[in-house]
Amino acid sequence: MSKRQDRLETVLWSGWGLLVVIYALIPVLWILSLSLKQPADLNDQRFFPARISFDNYRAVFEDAQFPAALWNSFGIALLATGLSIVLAMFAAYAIVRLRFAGKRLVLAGVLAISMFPPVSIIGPLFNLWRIIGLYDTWAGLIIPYMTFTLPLSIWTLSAFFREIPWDLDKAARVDGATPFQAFLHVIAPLAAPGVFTAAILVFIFAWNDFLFATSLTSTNDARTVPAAIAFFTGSSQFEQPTGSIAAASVVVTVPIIVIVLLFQRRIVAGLTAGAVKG
Amino acid sequence: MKAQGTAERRLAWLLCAPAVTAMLLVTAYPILYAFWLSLFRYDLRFPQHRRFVGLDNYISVLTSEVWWKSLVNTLIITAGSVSVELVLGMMLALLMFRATLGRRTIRTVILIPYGMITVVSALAWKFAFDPTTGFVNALLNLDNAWLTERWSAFFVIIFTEIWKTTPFMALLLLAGLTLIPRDLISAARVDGASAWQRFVHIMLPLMKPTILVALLFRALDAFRIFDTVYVQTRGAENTETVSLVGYNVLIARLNLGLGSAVSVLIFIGVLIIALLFIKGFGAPLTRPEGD
Amino acid sequence: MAEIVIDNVSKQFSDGTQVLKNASFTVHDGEFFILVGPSGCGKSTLLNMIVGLDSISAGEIRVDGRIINDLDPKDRNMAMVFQSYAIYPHMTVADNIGFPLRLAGLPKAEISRKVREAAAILELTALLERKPASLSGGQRQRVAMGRALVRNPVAFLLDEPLSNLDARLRVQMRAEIGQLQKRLGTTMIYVTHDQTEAMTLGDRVAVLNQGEVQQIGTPRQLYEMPANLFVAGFIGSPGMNFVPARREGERLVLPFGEMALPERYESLPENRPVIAGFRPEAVRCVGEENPHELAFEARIDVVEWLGAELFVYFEMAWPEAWDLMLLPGAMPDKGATMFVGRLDPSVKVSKGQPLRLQLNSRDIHLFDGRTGRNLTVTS
Repeated sequence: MSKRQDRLETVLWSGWGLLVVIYALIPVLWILSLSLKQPADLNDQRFFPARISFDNYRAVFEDAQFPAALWNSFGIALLATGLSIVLAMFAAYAIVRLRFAGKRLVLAGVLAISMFPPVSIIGPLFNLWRIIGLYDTWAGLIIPYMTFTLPLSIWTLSAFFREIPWDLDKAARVDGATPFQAFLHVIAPLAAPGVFTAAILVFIFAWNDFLFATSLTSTNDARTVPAAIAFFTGSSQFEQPTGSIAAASVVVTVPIIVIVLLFQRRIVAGLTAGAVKG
Repeated sequence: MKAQGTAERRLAWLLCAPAVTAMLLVTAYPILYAFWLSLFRYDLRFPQHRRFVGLDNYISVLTSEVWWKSLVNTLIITAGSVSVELVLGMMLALLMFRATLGRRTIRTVILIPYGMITVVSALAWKFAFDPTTGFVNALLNLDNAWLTERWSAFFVIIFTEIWKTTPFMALLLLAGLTLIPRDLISAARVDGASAWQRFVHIMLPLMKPTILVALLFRALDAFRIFDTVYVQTRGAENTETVSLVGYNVLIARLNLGLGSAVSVLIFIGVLIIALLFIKGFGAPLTRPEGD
Repeated sequence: MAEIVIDNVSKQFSDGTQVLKNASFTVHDGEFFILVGPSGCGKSTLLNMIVGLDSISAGEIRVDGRIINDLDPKDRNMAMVFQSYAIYPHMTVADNIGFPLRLAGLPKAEISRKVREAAAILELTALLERKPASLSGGQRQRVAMGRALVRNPVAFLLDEPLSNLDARLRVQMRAEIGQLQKRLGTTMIYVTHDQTEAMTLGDRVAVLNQGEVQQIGTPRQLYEMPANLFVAGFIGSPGMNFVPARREGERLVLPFGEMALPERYESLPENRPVIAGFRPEAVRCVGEENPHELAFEARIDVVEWLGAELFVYFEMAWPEAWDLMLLPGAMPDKGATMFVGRLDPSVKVSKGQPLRLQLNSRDIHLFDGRTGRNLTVTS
């Protein structure tokens, strides 16, 4: 390997890297630019806006639909995340730390659920929710989100829990800690990064869902952002809602970009922990 | 010892119980319920006509052109997107593996497609390909109405899917790549292997388990595709997928009996794909336990 | 068969760290050459540069007169055994050994014949169809050797090949590698951090520290004439003892006594700060006293009796003035240090016991107090 070759390769790889950055950012920039265009410029077919206006954002937030959907999305995604993580923590602890006959069964079940097609149960859930009054409520979405993210969180947490030197709590006990103190001061800090990582992934899933949101909600009471955006109508019947859709899209993409920027390392670790380390 | 074992077992089940119960209640019970519903003629608009019809609903679905067309469409989208994703994902993974400059930046930006709401990315690309608002036609100097013609609509749908999920594929493959001991690759170089030979003889065989798992999950995901198609074409121009058919019959037309038959068939389709991978290619899904 | 010339080779990483500085030496055809040094001294980097896995920042590497700086590893026809053995887990033993030949495009029958030959040499014949996962550490090591020798390389490069084996197997494989090299007569460059391996295996040894070649020579030369403090301390086990010293007339004065100035250091100027070094094996129990001998009394702190040898550890102190003359850091300890002596195991000694010990001036090495150079070797 020569030095010149080295340098050439560096340049080459950097070139490819730049291409990847462009690849990832184009739709984001495009939707941002659409959202900043004036209504009259929407059809100018230009990638960047000629004149910048914030009218679309004003319109989106003045309409009752979008702020409600945003509130629903945050609330439902956060609650579903919390529940999923708590249940998954119990299960993952048992899977990693305890011996029991049904372990394989639980793991197989988890695997099966991760492949389960959600569309197969929207009918029954729709019917069931209508009967027991969960249709178009937060709980009606939280329950399926929690369930469908359990495999993801159980896997991710198991992968992280396996790496924890559990014997450290024995050391803490020897050092004079009560079982609770040992958990609080030794095990919990070690487990926290994994729990946090799993929570990010679950949140992204719940934040992203469209199928359940369209099937199991009908009004601003529980409709989340993806469903709301898909059903946006213009302020008047004849107006194309493109600008509003773009503005709303930007608003909901910003949290994701912030999460990605802040927690890049964790997300990558979490995504790959469950799948490869096993 | 024995008493301790029993206590441990009891604790384990106690800890697993909430998660297992939730999963059974929200998936196993509804799918059985779906099977039950599928045996009835049951239309919510005419609930009084509900009656047991045996397998009639399945016969109507399986003899309808809509179902088979949608199945073919779904398979086209699955094959088209997953195959390209594998190749692109592998290239991206190799890039992240080799790149010395900006590895972090690349990893961060490719998480944006992964994290972006599918509906939003479908809309973004829909607007981009739109003949009046979009920049694609202007860029390529074309005058295509992309989403109003079947194959070009497929192209846009598959393109959107690829854009959104290639990063996920790439990250999985990268994890597989980094598990290969560096020494093995160096040893192959010393043994006289060119870059391509190293890739084919060393990296690919060692990554086989990762590749299969990634392919399986992506294939199942693609088979269940709903959001992108719903947003971009709503199934127009013969681009309807099985999930869309299920949704339309169940939610739009409120025909629970017929829709449930579709649901059960999709479930069976997913099972077939999973079995194909596990039995056919030996995808290593029996993960090593605990220790 | 090849002569490998390392000519003023340096390696600098892109972040600016210099891992190798102007290394120059020649490995003769058929020689068993050792690169030894503590971890991080640049020895593995140098090996990787020779085989082509690392690029060369400056200087030249020549094989039989041909510059190979820019050749890809696959065009260098060198074989390498990695510390981790780098056995391909998805291939059988036979496929592993035959891999380089397969890449070279040899016909199947010939590959199979050569693999069989190599396997016979390494006693691997019975394992040829096994997968690496079922092999023991020693067997894996042999497979790695097999893959190296099957292709008739111009040189074998071995990177810490024994460090993953347990102590007994290590001694056995060490002997086998030595015999194998003599039998094949192929140039071999062997990297290790273990001075015992270096001393037992090497025809010649290069000692590296902090990216610089400290000394090159036969094991005997390194032991008897260490070029500087580092080599003196690194070669030999336990390492050499050091203590500040100075010349007064025809005497050499140490903090705990004096003796006649060793003959080879006669040109040493007075007042020059020096460090005296003596090996543990130079320490003897007092016999007949004479002007060449320095006798002193030590209180023994630790006794290690191993049957065939006896080590005693004792601390000796000196006034601060002795240290002030030396370059800071030239000596690891200030004011006092723990010495080791290797005595006749028949000596009866116990902890805390005072013991009269003796050093002969011909066993003393003197090093420059500022540069650490051996004062005979410099010139």
